Amino acid sequence: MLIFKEAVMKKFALTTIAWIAGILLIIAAAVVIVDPFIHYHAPLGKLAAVETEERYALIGVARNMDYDTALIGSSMSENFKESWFEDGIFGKQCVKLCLQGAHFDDYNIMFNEVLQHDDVKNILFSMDTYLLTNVPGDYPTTIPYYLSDRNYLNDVYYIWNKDVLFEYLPEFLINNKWEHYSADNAYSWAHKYQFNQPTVLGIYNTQRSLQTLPEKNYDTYMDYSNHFIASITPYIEAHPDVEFYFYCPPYSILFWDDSTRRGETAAEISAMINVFEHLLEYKNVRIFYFQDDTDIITDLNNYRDYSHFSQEISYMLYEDMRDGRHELTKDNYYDTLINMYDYAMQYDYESIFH
Amino acid sequence: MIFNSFLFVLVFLPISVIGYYTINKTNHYDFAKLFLLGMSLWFYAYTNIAFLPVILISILLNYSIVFLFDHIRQSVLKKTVLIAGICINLGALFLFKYLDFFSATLNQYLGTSLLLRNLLLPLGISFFTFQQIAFIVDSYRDSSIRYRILDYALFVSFFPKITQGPIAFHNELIPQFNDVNRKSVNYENVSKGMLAFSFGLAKKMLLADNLGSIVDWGYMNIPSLGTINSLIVILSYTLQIYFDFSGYCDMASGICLMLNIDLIDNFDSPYKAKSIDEFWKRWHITLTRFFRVYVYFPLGGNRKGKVRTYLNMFLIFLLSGLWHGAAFTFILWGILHGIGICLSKLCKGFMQKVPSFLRWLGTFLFVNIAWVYFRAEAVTYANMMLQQLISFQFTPISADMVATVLPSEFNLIQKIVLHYSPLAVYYTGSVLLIIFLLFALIAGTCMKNTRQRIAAFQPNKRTMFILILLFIWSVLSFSEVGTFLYVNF
Repeated sequence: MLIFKEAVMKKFALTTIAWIAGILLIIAAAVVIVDPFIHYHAPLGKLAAVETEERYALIGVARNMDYDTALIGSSMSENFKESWFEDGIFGKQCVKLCLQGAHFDDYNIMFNEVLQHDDVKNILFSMDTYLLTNVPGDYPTTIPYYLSDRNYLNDVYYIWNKDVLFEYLPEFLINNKWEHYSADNAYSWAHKYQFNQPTVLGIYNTQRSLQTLPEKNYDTYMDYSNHFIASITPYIEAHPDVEFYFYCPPYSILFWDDSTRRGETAAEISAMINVFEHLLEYKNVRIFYFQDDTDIITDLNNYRDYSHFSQEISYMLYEDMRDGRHELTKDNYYDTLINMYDYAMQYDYESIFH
Repeated sequence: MIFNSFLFVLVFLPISVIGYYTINKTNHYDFAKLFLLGMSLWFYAYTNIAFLPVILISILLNYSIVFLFDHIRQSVLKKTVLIAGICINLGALFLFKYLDFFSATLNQYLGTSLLLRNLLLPLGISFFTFQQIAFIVDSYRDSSIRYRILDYALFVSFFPKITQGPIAFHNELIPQFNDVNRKSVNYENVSKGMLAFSFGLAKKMLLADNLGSIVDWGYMNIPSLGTINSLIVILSYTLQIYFDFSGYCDMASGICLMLNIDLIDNFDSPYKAKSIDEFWKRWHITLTRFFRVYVYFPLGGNRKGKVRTYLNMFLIFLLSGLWHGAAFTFILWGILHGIGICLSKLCKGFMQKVPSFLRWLGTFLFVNIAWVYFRAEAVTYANMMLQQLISFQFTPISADMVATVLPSEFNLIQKIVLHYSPLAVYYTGSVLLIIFLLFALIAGTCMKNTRQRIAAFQPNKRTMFILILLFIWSVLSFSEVGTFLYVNF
């Protein structure tokens, strides 16, 4: 009787273990085959790299998709469409690798991944001001290590992941049917917000600094900007055949209101001058400065808040870069930035609120 | 290392179980124990290798104390060694766990400038300190309690119980390590162990962690809660701490069963208790046992009059509060339960006349309120939380809470609903949250506990299905996709 019971229990235990192993294998296979985060391969068949979760998926896009142009940046770049840059001027295939709130540790990972592609010809990089004014090292990367590294052992966090299985895998398949979430529209947020002056002012009024602070020393961010230069130039030097397009997005005039009230303007502009001075030494670098486009920045109907502009403006930036407008050279970068400083310091900000 | 990790479930546990039985099959039982000891020390040191010397020194020290007992003839000297041993153990615990609290309190109230050491707290020190105090006291009293160093070291460091207990006694485990009849695989125990482990893992991953996000959100937003939201938060913590701790103990029991070892239970459906006295017979059973045997009885127990009895009981709970953590909130929690248990015993006769449901409700409410002090970072925040509860401001369930804390299993449902209406997301989310909380409440107060399920274990398809479902679902919960909130860009 005891032997029979032990046999029954043995069968139960071993069958259970076999089922668990089998189910885990099936789940792993499903995730590897569909691969919603593009970690192992480009989407199979007619599937496309549609929107899922950018911090998880875009490193995979950078690694496994075929492209010759990469658009790297923050939320400022998310409204660009890949298809715009497949015009033959920039390249034939573009990937958008934009992460909201990204810092240089995130970009480091992206640059490393992109530059492992021999076919890459162009990298467009959105150079936000905060990259030059935030303390280096204060913002470690938020890209999951198990997706950015090449250690397959820690892929367990991907292949046996509840959210991947129950949410992102089905979403990946569903979004392939929805135009809104196509690869070209992926991660764009233009359709989710209203772009008009009352909305912008309504948000900004709750954040506007009550006091005007003394102007900071112009060299306040010199060390941080030097750190940025030291971080980016190795990529430029190691890949002389790749054209690096740096562009400074046109934040609204309210950004400059905030900057002047916090006494940041001289320090920010100086940091930018320092960066441009160094980068313009490279033949494979082109810099586009849109922050002084006063037609755009003073029309708050172009914005959803004090910095984020509409998709129409994004398209204008693409056209300008394509056609060479707003480009900085060794001859004009200094004057351009000084003029921007003067404009920001002399602007009548109170007129916006009345 | 923790139980709820890929490394433990997919690598460590299978290696431990298979390795242990494989070596035992060769009849080299000491090697098998050495293997388990090695695995236990790896488990312990994985979190921080700096902890390893602490536990090794603690083991050697306490073993040496008992060794000395055999070589000292004078009873006074022997007692001195015992007291010194207890003091050293408690001293180490004080150093790592309470020194900074003590120093900070003196600095705050007496204006001293004592330096805070910020020492890392070695994992499980509260547990293995008490286990070893029990060992040296028992060894002092009974000279037949003597073990080999291998057995003793394995007992103290045994990985299923090292980090969160239970506070098993030496005479419960070491004889089992030496029982030849337990050296070969017992598939009934393996099956029961797998079931207990799966239930424990599910309690932790599917219930406790999700309840925890409600609690964390709530304690960061106390001023805006109102009655309904604070009730949700308070109830969530009551359930979170139970599922987290009992879930861990279930997993510990399950692992031991897989190794053909019976581990003492630490919980017995405490939220079914109808008095505080009964609550403490069901909650953290081994801690209550330790205090009863090694503190309450030596203080005289109930043999020195009623006043002394209640004082002794009150002291036990004060110490229990302090044992749980170095903060006034824990002490206050202990005091509350000390008062509660004294009242419970004083009014025992009267309470028998009160309907069973009301006794249960009163006990449950008391426990809920006491947990508020246990969870809050300061007494002030606990008071604020309770003030929100009795504010009678019936603001609806917070949309922010719903958006933040809803278990991720519901994310896809929410995304589908979002296509129809953003407002529907809130209502759906609120309903799902309430259903989840109600299920957790029923599970904690009405359902069978894991020990009862193991006792009623039947190796049928239903059991297998539940085991597999809970295990797989829990393992898939080890990893999630986080949503990043960015501030400006």
